[in-house]
Amino acid sequence: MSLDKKIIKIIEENIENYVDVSPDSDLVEDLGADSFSILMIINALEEEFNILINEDDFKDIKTVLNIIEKIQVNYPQALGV
Amino acid sequence: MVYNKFNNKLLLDRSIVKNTGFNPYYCRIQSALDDPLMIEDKEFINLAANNYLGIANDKRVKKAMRDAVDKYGASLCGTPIATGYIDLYEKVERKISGFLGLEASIILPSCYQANNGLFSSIADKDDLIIIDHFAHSSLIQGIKNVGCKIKPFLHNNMDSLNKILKNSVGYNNIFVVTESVFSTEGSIAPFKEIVDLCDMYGALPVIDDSHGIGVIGGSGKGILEYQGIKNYQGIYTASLGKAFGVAGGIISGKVNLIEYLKYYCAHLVYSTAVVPAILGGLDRGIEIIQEEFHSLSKIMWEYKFKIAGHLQYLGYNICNSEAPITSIKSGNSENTFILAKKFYDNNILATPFIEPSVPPNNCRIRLIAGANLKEESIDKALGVFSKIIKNNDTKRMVKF
Repeated sequence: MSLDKKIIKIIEENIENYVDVSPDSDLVEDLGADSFSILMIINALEEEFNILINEDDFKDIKTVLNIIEKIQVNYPQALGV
Repeated sequence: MVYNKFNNKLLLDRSIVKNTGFNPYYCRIQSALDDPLMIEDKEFINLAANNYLGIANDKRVKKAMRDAVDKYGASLCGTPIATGYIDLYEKVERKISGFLGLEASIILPSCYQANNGLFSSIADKDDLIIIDHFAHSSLIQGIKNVGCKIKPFLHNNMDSLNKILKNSVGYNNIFVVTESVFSTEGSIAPFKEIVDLCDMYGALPVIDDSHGIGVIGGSGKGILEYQGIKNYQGIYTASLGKAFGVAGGIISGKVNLIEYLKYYCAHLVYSTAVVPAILGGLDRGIEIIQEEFHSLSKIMWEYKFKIAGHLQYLGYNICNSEAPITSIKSGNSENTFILAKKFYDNNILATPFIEPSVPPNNCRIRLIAGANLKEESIDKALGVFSKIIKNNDTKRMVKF
């Protein structure tokens, strides 16, 4: 499975609402995510990719694509998992 | 210059109030929790207070409060560890522990302080705290103060909790924290399953039973009684300002935990002791609950089913609630204020929840009918619900 598909699956598993998640999904408006949802997603990403995420890296994220890009750029070791 | 910068930080976003012409917060109430309630010299039906059993204005509770003031004065002007711990304090702590079937308890000025003080006393950086996504702000603030790893789990989702517990190794202690009755919508935690999972993975359960104590369980003893949890080894907190009709918060559990907190919980040790009037009111309030829970809770549930049934019949989208809480799904913050205003304009006081109390666009208007309300008031409220949904704007607002 590609990295973006893996990340989308993780996000789907860690939000309360059953909605389709796409790279364009707005975390707040479309997925109803709050700060704890983001924390759940970060924890799950850490587990899946065996990385330690600096929460400050995720402060300005708005969309699912932002998360994918953050992981690709800041945590390239995830690409090898 | 520095002062201007600081002032700018304090600016409130009043856009919703401006757009809706309504501010539901800090309304000036002019009476006790009577039926009717008085606001702006007008009579209101109170569907906002957490006065589940309706004893907040009970004359026996008020007399006990006055008697305590006559005997002990307004305050002991000291912290419990110093000069604030009167014999009535110990009596009420023992009474609450006996009521719950737990070994020991401490009483703090509020449950917010109990939840805040608890975690900074018992947890540290090497621990892990796992918490339900929708847990109350007091628990969240309390655990954030610890500075340890926090892992939220999906609301009441045991697969999510199980997965986190399974993957969490290398921590000193693991705490699993939740509420019993979730205050914004009335869902109830599967706490027996949580306790079982904690046993399986060697974690310690912590439950905030603020909306459960005096409300659920065959005799009002809360979540432990409601779900048949025997010999509970975890930590229990609750508010005494809801069904108990007075004020204060408790932490209860094993004797060694409570003895430790008596010396190390800063929120207890450094706060002026709960005043005699409150202790006197609690002392009598517990007795009333023990004696009259069946009759009072019967009225409370009748009102809840009447309100929930009617709202559903009218087409309001309400939350699945197992508790005497009925919450209307109201979409975004602005819709929520508009709907709350419609209730207010028709002399009904309700509680709107907007973010951060609830997730974005998942706002709620909560209705709680205490057992002290008259049946005619409930019928009047149902009439208002019927009246305002006839408006097309309202119809659109409550179809979420």
